[in-house]
Amino acid sequence: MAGNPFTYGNPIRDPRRFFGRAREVEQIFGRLRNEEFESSSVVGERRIGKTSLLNYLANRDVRAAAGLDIDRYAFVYVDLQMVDEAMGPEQLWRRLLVLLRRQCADPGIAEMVTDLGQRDRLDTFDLDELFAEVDDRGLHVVFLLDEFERVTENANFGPDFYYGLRSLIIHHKLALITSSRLELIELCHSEAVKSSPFFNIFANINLRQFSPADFELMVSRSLDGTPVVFSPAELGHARDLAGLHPYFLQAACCVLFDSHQQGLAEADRTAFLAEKFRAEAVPHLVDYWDNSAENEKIVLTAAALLERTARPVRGFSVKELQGVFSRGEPWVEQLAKRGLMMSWESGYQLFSSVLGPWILDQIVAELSEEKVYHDWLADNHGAVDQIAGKQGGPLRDILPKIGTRYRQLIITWASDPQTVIAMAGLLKTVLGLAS
Amino acid sequence: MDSSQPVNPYIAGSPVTGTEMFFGRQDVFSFVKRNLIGQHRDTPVVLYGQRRTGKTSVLYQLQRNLDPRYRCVFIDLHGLNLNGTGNLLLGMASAISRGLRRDHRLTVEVPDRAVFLADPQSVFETSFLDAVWDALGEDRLVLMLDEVVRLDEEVKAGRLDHGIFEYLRHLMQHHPRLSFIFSLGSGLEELRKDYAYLFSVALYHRISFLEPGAARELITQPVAGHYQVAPAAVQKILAITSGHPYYTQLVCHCLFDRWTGAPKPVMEAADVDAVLAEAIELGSANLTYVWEDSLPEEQVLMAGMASAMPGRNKPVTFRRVQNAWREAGVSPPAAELASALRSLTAREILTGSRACAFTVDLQRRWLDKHRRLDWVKEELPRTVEQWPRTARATRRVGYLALAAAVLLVAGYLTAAGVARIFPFPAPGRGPTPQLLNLLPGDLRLNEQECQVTAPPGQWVMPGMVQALRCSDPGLTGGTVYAFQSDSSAHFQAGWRNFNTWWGFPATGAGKVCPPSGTARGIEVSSTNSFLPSDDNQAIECGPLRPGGGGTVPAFAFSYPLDFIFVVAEGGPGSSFATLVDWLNQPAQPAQVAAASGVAAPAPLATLTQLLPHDVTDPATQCSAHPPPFAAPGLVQGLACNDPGLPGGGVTAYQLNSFAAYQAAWAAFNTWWGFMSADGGTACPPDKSGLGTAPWTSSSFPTRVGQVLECQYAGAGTAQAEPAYAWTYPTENAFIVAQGGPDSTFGTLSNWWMRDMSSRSTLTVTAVSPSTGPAAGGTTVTITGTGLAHATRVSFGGAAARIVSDSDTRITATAPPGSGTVDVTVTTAGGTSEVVFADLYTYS
Repeated sequence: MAGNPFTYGNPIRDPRRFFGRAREVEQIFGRLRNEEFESSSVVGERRIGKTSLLNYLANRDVRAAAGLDIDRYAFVYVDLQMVDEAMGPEQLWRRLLVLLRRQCADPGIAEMVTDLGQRDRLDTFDLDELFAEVDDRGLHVVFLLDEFERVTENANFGPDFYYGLRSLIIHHKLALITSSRLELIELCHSEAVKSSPFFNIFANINLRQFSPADFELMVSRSLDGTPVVFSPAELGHARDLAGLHPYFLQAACCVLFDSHQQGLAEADRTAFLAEKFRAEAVPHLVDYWDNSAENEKIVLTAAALLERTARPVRGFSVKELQGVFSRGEPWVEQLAKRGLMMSWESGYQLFSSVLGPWILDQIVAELSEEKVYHDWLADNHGAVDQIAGKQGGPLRDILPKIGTRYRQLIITWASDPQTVIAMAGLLKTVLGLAS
Repeated sequence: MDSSQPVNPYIAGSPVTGTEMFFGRQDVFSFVKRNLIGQHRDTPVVLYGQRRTGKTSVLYQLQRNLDPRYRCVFIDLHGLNLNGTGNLLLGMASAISRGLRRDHRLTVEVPDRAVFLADPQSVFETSFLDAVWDALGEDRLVLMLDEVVRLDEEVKAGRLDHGIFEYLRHLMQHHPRLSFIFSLGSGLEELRKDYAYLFSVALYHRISFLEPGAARELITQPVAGHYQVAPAAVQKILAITSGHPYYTQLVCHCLFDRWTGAPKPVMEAADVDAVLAEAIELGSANLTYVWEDSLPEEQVLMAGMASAMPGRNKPVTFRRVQNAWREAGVSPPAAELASALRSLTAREILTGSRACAFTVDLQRRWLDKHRRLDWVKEELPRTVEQWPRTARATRRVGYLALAAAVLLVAGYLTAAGVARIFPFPAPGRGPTPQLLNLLPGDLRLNEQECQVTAPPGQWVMPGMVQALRCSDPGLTGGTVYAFQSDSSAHFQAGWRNFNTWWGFPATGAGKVCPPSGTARGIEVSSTNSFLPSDDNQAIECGPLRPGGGGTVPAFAFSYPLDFIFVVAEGGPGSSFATLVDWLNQPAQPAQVAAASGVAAPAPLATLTQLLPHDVTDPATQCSAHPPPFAAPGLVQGLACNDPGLPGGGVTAYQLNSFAAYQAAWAAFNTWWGFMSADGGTACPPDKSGLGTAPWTSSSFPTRVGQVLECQYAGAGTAQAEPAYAWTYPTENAFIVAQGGPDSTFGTLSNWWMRDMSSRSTLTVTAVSPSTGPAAGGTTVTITGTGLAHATRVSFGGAAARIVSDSDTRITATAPPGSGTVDVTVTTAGGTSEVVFADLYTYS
């Protein structure tokens, strides 16, 4: 039995199993090849493949093929999850230098790094001396800093750290490739850091979903050499479940491959895929939901409702969205940037067919919640006030049917006077309240 | 991925340290060279400008451009430990030592760290600098200090002693072979005016956007071996970036990437369009930074502007921005928006005067995508309601104050007696441009008739930037004073104090100037489309007692948006009439000024140029019209059909002198039976049925007596119809518009606002084709706004033949020429500003 070529638990480290992202890779390498050796900031939602991309960039064969001579370019990958609340700039620098020492082939630099590591104190000037020596020897250093928000959100790293780092980057052959869930400037722990010019030396590289061609390449290359062939219907089903999200595509394909290996009939394989994929996806959907702003949650909910009424075809236009949430447009674009929405014809659709039903399942109250609705109302006078007037009227029937955790979200949504009637009508249809 | 792929040469983020990708700035190099070797050789040089305009790059290039006897050492204060004077000086010493060693092959050892820190100031100056002078021989040391605002930040944070400024001053005074070049990341306009006098001795040069020629080189030369950038594509990039070095590099970077993906010999304007979304994404950090570094009211203004100009970076008026917000249910305070307008213009984020646009179109596109008005409305609810000053406001002022302190040090360095270049006026120097521009009569062209004077003794002027005292031979015995304050609050206080001293507001004051039937008058202007309603300009008039003696006639003009007011006093024994004559005289440079090349005054507009916009073809719509009132000196009288006034019409009159105009206007009013004292102060009129209101035109200077009158023409008869009459004192003209039967003041007012008050701003937005042969003869279409009735089209100063014109389009024949020139259009309202979009290249 052939081993399953699809994996989705850990980042991809084998460059032969890294697919797509050709444009992003060329942008990053292109900036490193130019005269000023420029830095880039990779931005993308969790599981979109940032770590895999950084691993790919750091691979010796890959960068050698890109013209970044491995003898002259030291690529140092650092997982910044290790940065805890107690860690400060000096400790981070010491850690970076240890890793640089391992990657740097030049004995002179290695010796300097060792010497610096043994000093009692380490400041920007010491680092300046080190990187001046790097320059003099015709070398280049690239730090690939994964999850850089661990630094930007850490109050121990004040403006001085960023000033010093920026100065080193500007004046020496030092470049950073950072990865973060949001743009760095959105993830700063203070206004002082946010206003630092540090961030404006980066080019922003957004990682979004795969293109259809990337998906096809991933499947064909992965199945190459195995006896398994996915039918077009199966591929369509996998794409419907996973969108073009690389992590979820790997998960769906992995399950599908297993179903083939188990010798299941095609109909059984479809059911197997749907069930197993949902079980795999839900924890991540919870994470995405919890990390969404309130307006993003409203748009996700509205999208779930619109897609349900639009069956069998998923998707909705911006105009339809604005019909139930007038302020929805910027947020749907933000969700597309995060990979939770996909462009669809002239509008959008939720990236996965699992997401909409999951959202609706979450917001509907359980029977026990419905029974204690009046207790909740007594504890939430503000909500009572909001649904008392004409604007809140349509909510009176709806709120009891909404789960306790989501009632405030629905009330906020209903505060849009232009769309409250339409939104209530949509909800009533789904909740079985429509007359 | 292919390692043989050509390397993208464009640098989108880092300073340009190499030479190949650096273009322009020869003016900076000349300036610095001139001042390092000339009579100002002991004067520190300050290069200032907004972030990302390339100051650090300029410093790098300067090192290569100076005489080798000037040993440059670059010190980035971001890279130094500024925690204490000892660390700072040790860092500077180390930087100097390393710079001399690496770039100049000179060895100067830094004293032992412990020894140094034990007495840093003494060790730096004696042990270290003495060793530097020994190593340099006869050469000089030029310290290039980048990011000097950090000194201010560290002093403010308490980590660096304020005495560092004194010490630096001491170094500069006592080491004649030491020169300083500072780089300051802000605009001087943003600095608090309290500090203005501190900047009176350094030499300043602004680092702004690239000149068009340099920007074109940046766009075309680095890729010349790969592809051509079509002229339209060049034009497009320039229109989008205005030559901002970072954004130009960014767009070109993306264009190169596009070419790499699908090589072809010429990249067209459509290719530029295709990469803009990517450019915005790559440059997101900088575009976001502009937003994050802005105060709430600045954010509100930017979002409102982007909303008011959907789809293209077309200048919009202040009022349209307000309307955009009002449609969203919010009424931002006009004063806050006006303040934001000033600061964003100073930061070069916005550009324009009467109507504004984004300097870099990418910023508007970014706003359109990421900070739409309704989104901002949600983000800033408390700002919109309360306009609180955030910590960021404090921070900006703080860092500018610190920068000011650094510059104070620079100022101290200059020995007395050295000729100086002033970014701000100082006592004893000439008028500020803002003051000069607002001087009445012909003083604007005769600067030598004014002197900077001491603050007034009769009333308190807090935050005064400058006071001017001017005398003009035409104002026999009279005097003009002008006062500029540093803030809106200080202006308001000074204006209030002046009025208290003068006795305003006065009981019984009339509503017109010169006073008519009353001793005093006050006119308040509120019709300028770009002025916030609470920033009304005022004209006051009345007797004034200058100092002990008798009274003289006087006018006072307030300009709240400029924090300026002007007081014009007639001479002893003079009348309001003679003062008004002087105030309204056409601007005439004095003989000396004319001889020195000061521009001659613009000719008066012709009467047809003053007609309402919907009189599009005066030749067919108008006929000669002898006035039914006495009008000696009449140049022209016209009666015109106006499609906006069915059944009604327009009559217009122009006289040959200001005096003739005044007489004719008075005769018209008598003939018209207009009794201003019986009416209200607004048009359309209140229930009294007639009104008098001041008005301003966006195309002509506002003058005393510029007035709009309204009443029913033929009042008391069965055919009474609404009518407006308004004056152009600077053009010696007035116009009367009468509605048709059954029309109302409402419809007449709407017509007037549309066709008179909202006269288009004169702008050139495109020139097509943008290239042509040196021999000229090319038929060129110039598009823009406010182009109707153009009197001249200039190609780099050479007049072109105008074939046809309309409000938005002119067809002209290019004259012979060479190189790349600006195409400008002149109408009665002035000459279009020079913009990138108006460039025309002779091939």
